[in-house]
Amino acid sequence: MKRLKFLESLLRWKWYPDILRLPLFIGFFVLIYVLLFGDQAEGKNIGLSVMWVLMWSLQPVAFVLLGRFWCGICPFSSAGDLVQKMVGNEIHPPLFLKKYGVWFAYTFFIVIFVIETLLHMASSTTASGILLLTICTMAIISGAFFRRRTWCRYLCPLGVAGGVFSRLRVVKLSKDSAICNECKEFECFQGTVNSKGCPMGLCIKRHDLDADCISCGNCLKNCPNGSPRIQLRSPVKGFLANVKMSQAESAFTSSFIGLSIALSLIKDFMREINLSFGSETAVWDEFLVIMLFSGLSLSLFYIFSYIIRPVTRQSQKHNFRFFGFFLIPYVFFVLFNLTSVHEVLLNGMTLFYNVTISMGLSLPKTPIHPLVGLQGMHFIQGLGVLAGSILSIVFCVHELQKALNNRQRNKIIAVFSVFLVAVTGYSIYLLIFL
Amino acid sequence: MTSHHIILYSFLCVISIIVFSGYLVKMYRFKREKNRVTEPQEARAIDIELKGDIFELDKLSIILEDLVRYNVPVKTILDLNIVIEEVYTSIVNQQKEGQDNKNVLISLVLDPGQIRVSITDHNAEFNPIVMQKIDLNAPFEEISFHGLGFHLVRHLADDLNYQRMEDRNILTMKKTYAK
Repeated sequence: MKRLKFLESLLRWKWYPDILRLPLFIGFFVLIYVLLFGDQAEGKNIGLSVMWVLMWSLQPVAFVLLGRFWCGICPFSSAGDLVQKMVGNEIHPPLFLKKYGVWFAYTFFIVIFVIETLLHMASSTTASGILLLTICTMAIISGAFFRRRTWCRYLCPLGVAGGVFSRLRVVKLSKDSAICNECKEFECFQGTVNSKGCPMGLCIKRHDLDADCISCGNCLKNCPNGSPRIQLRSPVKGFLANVKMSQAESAFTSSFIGLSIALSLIKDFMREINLSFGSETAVWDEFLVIMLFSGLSLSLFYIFSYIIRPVTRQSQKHNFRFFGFFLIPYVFFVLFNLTSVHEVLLNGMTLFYNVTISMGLSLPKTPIHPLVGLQGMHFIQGLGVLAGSILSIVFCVHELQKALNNRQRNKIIAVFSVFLVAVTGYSIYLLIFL
Repeated sequence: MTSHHIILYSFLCVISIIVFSGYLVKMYRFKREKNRVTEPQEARAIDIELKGDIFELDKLSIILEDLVRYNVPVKTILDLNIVIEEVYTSIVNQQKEGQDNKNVLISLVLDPGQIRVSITDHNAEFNPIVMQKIDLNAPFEEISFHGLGFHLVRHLADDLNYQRMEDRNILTMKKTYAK
């Protein structure tokens, strides 16, 4: 692992992260204004292009490169922090929020994702504006009543779901264990005169930094012993160095598989239902069917982890967490397909046109074509799904090599591979042949 | 006025109401703190029942983290977490294979300036207090690492006591801190 001293000194700089937060905070208000009062014609609103094609597509890539860096400079949290500074009550978040808040966040993420796809939120200025304002209001409620960043840590759908993919991060905060073991003051958590304590409530000695660190640099500013450091690491090594997963995260990854399949199937599925029953179905029926698929996938994975108990010789809970962890690369590529690949290839040119026009340059009035046709995009998405499933299997094999004997290991790998190959095969079939 | 104006103004109204109510709550809490007569705090008891499974440790640390709200210093909470984790892990390891996991009861009593802990399990009789102390000054090769976890417990907690009652092991200890 290579230590990045340049980034460390940047994070120690007293103006960081405010220097990045301020323009984004102002930009957020401009974005809201443009969304609600800009050009409402389809494909002409620059706010929509910036929000969905630029910001939404960049998120998965940013999570893998920098972890939850976005959360450190996110304008919603800036609004929450501002209100916290003005009227903050600093109440400790209730225990049920700490225990079950992430379940809400994952469900919220899945619901937003499905609604976004079904209602084509990426082309609706009203829906996009309401979404942004709702999340901002939630962050402000958290800032006004609770201490630190309760919303970001336990409830934010994007941040908490991003935390799962942040386990693959390349730039990571790490610690010098020898120094931390001697520490008795916990300045990183408590804060000093230099800066406040960790806004996410993390103590670098004890907590999982991969999933929750937002790279705000407060621990670097506060630690008098220089224990925190920024390191560049291989995503594979870093990912496998900390095989630790909660039930909620596993439930999220497993239900996302069903969700992705349901999104590809839904139109044909509903057409069949309409033909069979001779009735018209609404968007909400589609929503319910997708959520049902998602729940079905979660239940199947739960049963899978129960059935393979004799093979792994571990409890059902352990299996659920363990295999859920190795679904992360697969689910990441699925998300990458549905957000980055989809938005950039289909709407990338719209962003280019809108930015050019807003800069005052005139362009020929030709219809805006997508960068790649639908078939080309499905081919690229198929490749992504394949890459994700190969990575998941390779990571699982690598991890199992450490602990188990050959026979037991081969059995587990065979079972996991069959599961994943079946899911991948079906997804590719849906993408390319339907 | 368009529908977009109405959306924006309604959100602005909601945000203003939230900020204002946050301010009112702050004022109320400030007044309550000011008027509160300082009385000796009553002892609070917290019972944690764990299923004898190693994954229950997450639940334990979440509950212990919550002690901050009773003004227990973070260092004490972290020490306590280490101590209870060590004892709990040793209890789970002692459970015989094939047998059903039996619940482990951890009781915390918060007195002003100290926390009393008692850990009850249903394993075979095992008194960790009589275990031989580890001499850390001995040469490295001669140090026996068996019982190192309990050495840590002995180092971090005060007033360790062991009792065998019926079929239960009860380990009690105290952790003091400056108020």
